[in-house]
Amino acid sequence: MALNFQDMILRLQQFWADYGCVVQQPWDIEKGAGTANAATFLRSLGPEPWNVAYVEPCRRPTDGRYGENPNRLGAYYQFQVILKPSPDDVLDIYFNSLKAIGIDPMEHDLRLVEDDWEQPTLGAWGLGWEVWIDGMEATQFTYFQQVGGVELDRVCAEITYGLERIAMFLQDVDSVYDLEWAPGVTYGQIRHQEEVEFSHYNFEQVDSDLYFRWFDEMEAEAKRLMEAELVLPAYDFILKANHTFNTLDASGAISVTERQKYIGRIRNLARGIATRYVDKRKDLGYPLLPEDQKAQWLPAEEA
Amino acid sequence: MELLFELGCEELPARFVDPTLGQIRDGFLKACEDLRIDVGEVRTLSTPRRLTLLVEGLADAQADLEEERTGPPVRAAYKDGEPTKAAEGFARGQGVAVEDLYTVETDKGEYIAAKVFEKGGPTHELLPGILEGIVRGLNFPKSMRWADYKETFGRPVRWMVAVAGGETIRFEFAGVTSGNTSYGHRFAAPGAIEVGSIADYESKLAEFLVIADPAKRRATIEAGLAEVGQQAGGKVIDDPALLDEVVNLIEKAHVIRVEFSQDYLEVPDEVLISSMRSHQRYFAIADANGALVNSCAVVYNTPVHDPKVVAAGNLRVLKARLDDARFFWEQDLRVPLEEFVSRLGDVVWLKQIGTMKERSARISMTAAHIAEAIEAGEDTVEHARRAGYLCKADLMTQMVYEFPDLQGVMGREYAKKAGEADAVAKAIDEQYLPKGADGNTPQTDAGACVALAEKLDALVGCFGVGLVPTSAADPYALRRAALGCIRILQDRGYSVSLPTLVQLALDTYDELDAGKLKDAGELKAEVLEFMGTRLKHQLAADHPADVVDAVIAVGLDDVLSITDRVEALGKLTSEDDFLPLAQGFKRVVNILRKQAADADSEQAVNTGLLQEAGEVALHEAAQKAGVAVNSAVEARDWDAACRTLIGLKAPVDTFFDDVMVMVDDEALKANRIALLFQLEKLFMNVADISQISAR
Repeated sequence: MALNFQDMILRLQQFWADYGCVVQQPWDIEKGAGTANAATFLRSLGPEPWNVAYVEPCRRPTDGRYGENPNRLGAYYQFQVILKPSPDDVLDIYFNSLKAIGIDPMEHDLRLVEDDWEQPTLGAWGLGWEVWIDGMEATQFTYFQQVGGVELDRVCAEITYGLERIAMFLQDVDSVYDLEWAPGVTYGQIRHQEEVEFSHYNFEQVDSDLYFRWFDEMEAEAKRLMEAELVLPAYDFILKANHTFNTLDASGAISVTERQKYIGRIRNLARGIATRYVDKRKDLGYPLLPEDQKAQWLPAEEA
Repeated sequence: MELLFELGCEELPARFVDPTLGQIRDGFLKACEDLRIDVGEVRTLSTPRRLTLLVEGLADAQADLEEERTGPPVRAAYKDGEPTKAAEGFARGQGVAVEDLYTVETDKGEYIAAKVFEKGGPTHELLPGILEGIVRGLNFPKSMRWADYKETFGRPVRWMVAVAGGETIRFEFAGVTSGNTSYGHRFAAPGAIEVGSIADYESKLAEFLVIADPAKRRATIEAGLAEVGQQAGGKVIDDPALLDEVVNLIEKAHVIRVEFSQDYLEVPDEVLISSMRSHQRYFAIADANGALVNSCAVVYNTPVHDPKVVAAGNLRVLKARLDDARFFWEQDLRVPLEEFVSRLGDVVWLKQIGTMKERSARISMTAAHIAEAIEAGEDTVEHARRAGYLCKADLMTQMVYEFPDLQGVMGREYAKKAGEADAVAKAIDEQYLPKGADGNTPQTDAGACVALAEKLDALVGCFGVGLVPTSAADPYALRRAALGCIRILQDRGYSVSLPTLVQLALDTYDELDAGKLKDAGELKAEVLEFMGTRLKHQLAADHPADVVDAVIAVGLDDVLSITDRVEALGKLTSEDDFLPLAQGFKRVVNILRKQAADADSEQAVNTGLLQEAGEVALHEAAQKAGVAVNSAVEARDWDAACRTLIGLKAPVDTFFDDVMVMVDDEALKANRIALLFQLEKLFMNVADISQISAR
C-alpha cells in the first residue's frame, strides 16, 4: 500500500531527523523555491556546519494552469535538505531516504542525470544532477558552489524532493489532484480551488501599477535595512520583492528587456545580503560553529 | 610490469567522460616520456562512475640518463690554464669534478662540457607523483568543489585504485587515498571489489554488474535497439549522438520497449522525437515508410526485478511529456500566424538595430530580391517573400519556447495548418539550413532564397554595428552564416555574384532601416572579405591553397564559377605542361607589372608590326584560344577553358626563347606589350596561374 502524501512527508522528516538534521518549519513569506528560505540561502554561506530538513511551500505564478493541467501547479511543496559540509556518502544516504518512502532501487531504475543548477535572481549556482526514477525527475541534487555571488567556504549538498511528483509515482495516479493527501482526503479537495483562483488572479487580476510600486518600495526597504545591519529583516524584503517580480512576470506586465533589469536588481540585493550575512555571523562569533573549529575560522584575537 | 589505475567518481556527465579519458592517457604518456619510463600498450575503459587507465609493458625503472651538457665558453672557463669561478660553478651545478670537464667545438666556438650520468630510479617510486599530477591536472568544461576539500573535479572523487606490478601505489586526492579497492554497480552490487591485475579487472567488475568497456555496452544497446525496433514493427531511428551519450549514462545496459497511445501520433513527428529525445533520452522508432510508430526504446541501468515496472514508470513520464507537447500544439494552433508575427515586435534581435519583426521584414524583402536575381519564376519570388515574412513567427509559439531545437520545423507545420502554400511552409523550415559544416542545404528555390536572406541579413547587420567575430568568439555564428551562404550557392548551382547578394541585403537595410548601419561602402567590403576568407578556407580543405588563391585573385565574384574553376584547374596542375606554363605566365605578369607599368593595357595588337616567327605564332595561338576560351566560359565548361590555356604552353615558351620584348624600338615594344596584355586577359578569365608554384 503506497504512502499517502502526508505520510510520505512524515517519513522523510523522520529519516532526516534520524540522520541528525534539524527539522525546521517553512518561512512565512512567499517564495519560488525552498532554496530561497534563509535556512538554505543564508546558512549555506560561511563556515558554520548546518544539517537541516524542511518542507517549503513554493509559489510559481507563471506555472499556474487554472487547475486544468494534471502535472503543472502554480504552487506546490518541496522537501528540502541541506547537508553542510557535504558528507562523503551523501548519495548513499539520499538513496536510503528513497527506500524509506518505499522506492526500492532494485524495483526501479534510479539514475543521476547531469543538471547544473543556476538561479540568476539569487546569484547562485551549483553542479549536480536530476535524479530520475524510471525516467521521472524526482529530485534536484546540487553541490552549491556560489550563493549570492559569494564562493562557499564549505560546499553543501542541497537535496530538493519534488513531493507531488514522487507521490504521484508512488500512488500511481495520473493527476496531481487525485493524490491522497490523508486517508479519505485528496490533494485536489484541498488545493484545487487555490490553483484556479490564483491562476485567475495572477494572469488576469494583478494590478501591475501597484506591484511595480511595491517592488520599488520593497527594494528600497531592503537596502535601508541592510544599511542598518538588520540582515534578516532585510532578507524578508528581498523575498517580498522577488515574489512581487514573479507575480508581475506572470501577469505579462514586464517586457523582455525590462525582465532582465528586474532580475539584475534582485540579484544585486541578493549579493548585498550574502556578504552582509557572512560579516554578521562572523561578528557574532559563528554561533553554530563547534568550539574546536573556531580557531580555524576566527582570527585569534576574536576567537 | 602493468599498471591499473581507476578513478572512482560520482556520476560524471556523459559529455565529460571521453575528453577526460583522453587527458589521463595523454598525461600518462607525457609524464613517462619526460621521466624516461618505457611504456608498452595503453588502453582506457570507462563508465559514468569510473575512468580507467590500463598500461602494459611499463618499464620497472627509468632509463639511465647519459647526456653531454655544455657550459660557458672556454675563454671564460679558464684563465692562464686555471679553471675560473664560472667553470667551477658549472661543474658543481652538473655534479661533476672540475677535472672531468672537457672542451667541445660548436658553431659558436669552443665551450666546456660535462658528461652527466643519472641512474634511473624505480618506476614504483615515481608513480604516486605521476598519477597525482595527472588527477590534479585534469580539466573539465565545468569543475566543482565538495565538502571541505580545496581540490576541484568534474564530480566528487570517491575512490582510487592504483596497482602496479601487483603493488599498491599510494597517493592522496581530496581526502581519498588510492588503494586496490573498487566498487560495483551502485544499486545491484555496491560491494567493495579487490582488484590486482588487468587480467581480472574487467571480469571482476562484470561479476559486480558493471561493464567497464564502453564498446561492449554500446554493442548491447545496439542489439537491444534492433530487437525493440523489430518488436514495434519498425526500426529505431539512427541517432549516433544520442547513442554516444546513452553509452556514458549507464554502467550496465538494458533496453526495453515502451508503447504509447496512437493518439499522440497526430502531433508532428519532430515534436514527438524531441519530447522523447531531449528530455528523456528515448530512441524513436519509425516504420518502413519513415513514419513514427507508437513505441520507443528506453535504455536503463539497473538489472531490476521486473522490467515491466520500469517500462510502466517511463510510460507515465512520456505520457506527461506528450500531453504537454500536444497541449502546446493545440494552444499554438489557436493563434493566427499573423498574431505571432506581430508579437515579434516585442522581441529585440540586436539592440542597435531593432526587433525580430523588423528582421523578418528585411528577410522577406531580401529573399524576394534574391529570387529575382537567380531568375526564379514569379511564384517563387512570392513564396520567398511570404516565407521570409513568416519565418520567425514560430519563435513566439509555446512549442518552440519549450523545444528550441524545433524552430523552423514548427514554423513549417503551423504554416501548413494555416493554409500557406507548401513551398512557403517548406521554405520556413529550410531557412536555418545548412546546420553544421556538412548539413543538408535547402532543396527548394524559395527555401534557398530565405536561407540566404536570413544569413546575409545577420552578416550585414552584425558587421554594420561592429559585432565582428574574433578568433576567440563568434557569438552570432557569423562564420557559419557565411559558409552557409557559400554552400547554398554551390549546392543549388546559383550563378549570382557575392557582391550582388551583399548589395541586396544592404539595399534592404537602406530601404527599411536606413541609418542604423555604418557606411555602406566600407561595410560591403568588410562583409565580402569575411565571406571570401570563408570561401578560401572551404575550398582549401579539398584543393591546393595556391590554386584557390590563383582563382580568387581574379575576383571574388560568382561562388559557383570560382568553385568550378578551382576544381578544373586543380585537376590540371599535375599535367606536365602546367607548371612550365605557370612559369611562363609569371614572366608575362612580371613584365607587365614591372617594366610596362605605364603601358596602356587596352592597346590593340597591330598585326603589321609582328615581325618574329615566335610573336606571330603566339598571336595566332592567342587569337584562336581567345575564341575557344570565350565559348567555354559562355558554356561554363571550365575544364575546356583550362585545357585551351594549357595549349598555349608551347607558343609562350617559343615566344620567350625567340623574342625580346623590351627592345629600343618603341613601336615594336609597345606592340609586344599589347600582345602580352591580350594574353593576360585571356588567362584572367580563369585564374592568375602565376600564383601557382612547383609541387
